Amino acid sequence: MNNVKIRSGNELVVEGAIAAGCNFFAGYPITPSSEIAEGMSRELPKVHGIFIQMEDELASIGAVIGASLGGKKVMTATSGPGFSLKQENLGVALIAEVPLVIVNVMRGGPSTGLPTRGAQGDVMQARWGTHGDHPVIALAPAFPKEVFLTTIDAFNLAEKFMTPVILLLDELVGHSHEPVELPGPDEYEIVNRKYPEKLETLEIYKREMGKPPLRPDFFMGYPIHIESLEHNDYGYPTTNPEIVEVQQRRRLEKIERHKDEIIRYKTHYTDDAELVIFAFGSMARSALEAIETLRKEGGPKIGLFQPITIWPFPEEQLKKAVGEKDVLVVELNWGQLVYEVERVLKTNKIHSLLKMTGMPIRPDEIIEKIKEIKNA
Amino acid sequence: MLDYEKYLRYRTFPVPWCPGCGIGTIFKAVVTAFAKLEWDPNDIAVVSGIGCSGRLSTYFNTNTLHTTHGRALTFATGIKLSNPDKHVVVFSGDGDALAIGGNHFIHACRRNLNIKLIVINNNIYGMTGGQVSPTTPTGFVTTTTPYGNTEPHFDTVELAKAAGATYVARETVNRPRQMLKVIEKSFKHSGFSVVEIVSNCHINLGRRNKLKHPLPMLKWIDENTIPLSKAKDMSEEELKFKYVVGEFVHRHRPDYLSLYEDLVVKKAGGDKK
Amino acid sequence: MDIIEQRTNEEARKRRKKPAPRPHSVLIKEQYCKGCSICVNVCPTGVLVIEETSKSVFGLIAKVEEPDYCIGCMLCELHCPDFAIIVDPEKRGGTE
Repeated sequence: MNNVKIRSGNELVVEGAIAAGCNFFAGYPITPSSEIAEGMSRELPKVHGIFIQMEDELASIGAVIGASLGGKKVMTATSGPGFSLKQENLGVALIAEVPLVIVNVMRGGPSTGLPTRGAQGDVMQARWGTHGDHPVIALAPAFPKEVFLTTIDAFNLAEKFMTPVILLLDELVGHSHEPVELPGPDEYEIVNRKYPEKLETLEIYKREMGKPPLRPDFFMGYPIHIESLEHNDYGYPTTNPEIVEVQQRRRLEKIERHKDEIIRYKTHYTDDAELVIFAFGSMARSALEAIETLRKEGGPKIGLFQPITIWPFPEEQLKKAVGEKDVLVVELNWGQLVYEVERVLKTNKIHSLLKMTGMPIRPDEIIEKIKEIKNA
Repeated sequence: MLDYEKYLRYRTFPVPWCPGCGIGTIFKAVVTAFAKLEWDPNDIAVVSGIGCSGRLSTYFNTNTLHTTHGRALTFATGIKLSNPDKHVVVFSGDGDALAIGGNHFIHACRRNLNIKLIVINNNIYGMTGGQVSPTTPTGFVTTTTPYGNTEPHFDTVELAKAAGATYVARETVNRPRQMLKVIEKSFKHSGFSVVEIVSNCHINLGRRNKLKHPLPMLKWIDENTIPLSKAKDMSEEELKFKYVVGEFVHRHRPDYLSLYEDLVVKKAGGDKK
Repeated sequence: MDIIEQRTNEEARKRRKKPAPRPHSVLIKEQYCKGCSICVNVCPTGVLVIEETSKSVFGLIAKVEEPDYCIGCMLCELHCPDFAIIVDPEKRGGTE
């Protein structure tokens, strides 16, 4: 445990981004994610990367998309209100298949809400925030080392699948300072964007169904067109229904067919558990503490299914880990992922502990809920 | 091949604008300027917003990007920062640049990145069918001012000047040679440049104001065009609703990136790439 | 339905004295011309006219009626919004 350091989640996002090779950040101040922008403004110039604070969140994601098309590994970070503002341009990155990482350190919503309090109320916005059908990758780390490694993962998935990746923290994960031993470079892999050796045609979006596009970026010798309208294989605007169908399906299949590679999750104590808690981020940690306390006291044996990939939703993985057992969904909101769990686990008994008061749901509250379920 | 044809993406032709629309004339002036400056198409990124002028990026045979309404400058900022030695040219309409994109317009002027903005001002929201825009002359009828526009309008040049742009000029599509000159000068200038080109939208603005064809609309613009040299000794009252054309600002400020490289990167100890 | 203002430029034709001293050629790209009549209006010597056609989307197209009077001033090409008219293409490396 030699190089143990005290780091907050936000700081670990910065270190993870730099480790992943991020060399461009555009952002705008917002509690509780400003520390990410501050960290990037310190670290990027050291690796001759570029940091810029833009005039608002729309401008920030616009700038990172431009820089990504300019060949950079890019990130932006915000919280609820900024995440709402970024949705339209997030759609451009989705339809034009532009890699970027967008961090949302969730706070109490809606509106200005509870800026300094943790919440998990943006999960459905992460899935459906921008209009229209689109695939999404959203990752939500809980433990310090996970925050660092998941940030790197976010970049790797973005570059590999040519898509935006949403990194969901909540304020508790973002602001809690804890000792962490940072993994060395040998403990993680870095994926860089792939480019075609030679382009026979300028049909940069043409590819087999289910594959990400293999296209050049700007200034690589090809006059490519990147378009916010629906586009054909060249990237030029189209309204032709057959072409629209192919393009829409290609983008959805690109993620759908690689779910196994994209979905990351952890299970804790599920083998001998009589009931499994479904919780992510800070609530996964609160649940784990409740589970370990109960086991120490010889109480009921409870397990935890901790999704790190929130979208695409880990359907098969959840079924496999839970089997027929009862499930308790613990979320810092008034019910969002619980509906996904209910949709997936049709026969299991689903309980839920759902609250967003600005305060975390504590381990003792989870223990009380479990006892209530047991006695019922 | 004509010298400017290498910047035309003929596969996407013909161009989509209404017969006689000034956007095509501006398009030609820009590719002519590219040819005169012998810019390599691979070194150029053309970024456009949403609206009639937004469709321009499809037709350039360079790196091109069609962005969201009002946000072209923010994408362009990312492109320029990540590729400082490339040319970044942005097309934006009066609605795109001064209404929804106003916040980005003033900050881009303030920041002074070496980006070339061309504001195509046809005084109307053309693409969406003829709604009032921040530059629609007072009294004009539009689909959202059926009783005549009562709002005052922006002066793009004054806005750009006050926000810090270091090259600002205005011309009209009636004067292609002068237009080419200011576009070329703005391209050669190092720093954020704003060139406003007054263009004719006879279909959506003209039709509802007795200027139904290209020629009457162009004539109306010409009758309201005053060269800067003459305008200097005219009163504000006389210049109301007039388009003063010429070069308004040509000054130097260190551009954003040179400051970033010299100060930030050095102080951070990052070796310059 | 007369959607354009000017099919010929009589004013220019009155002003001109004699054919141009040096010959020039003017090419109309019929696949691009939309018959907007701006070129007819700006041509100082009345070389161009608008005529009806089934080819153009709006049923109108520009036509080089009196090439001998073309003085090569390029105004038609500078003003044309559709890249549909080119002066002396052969002397400038041809065109697409």
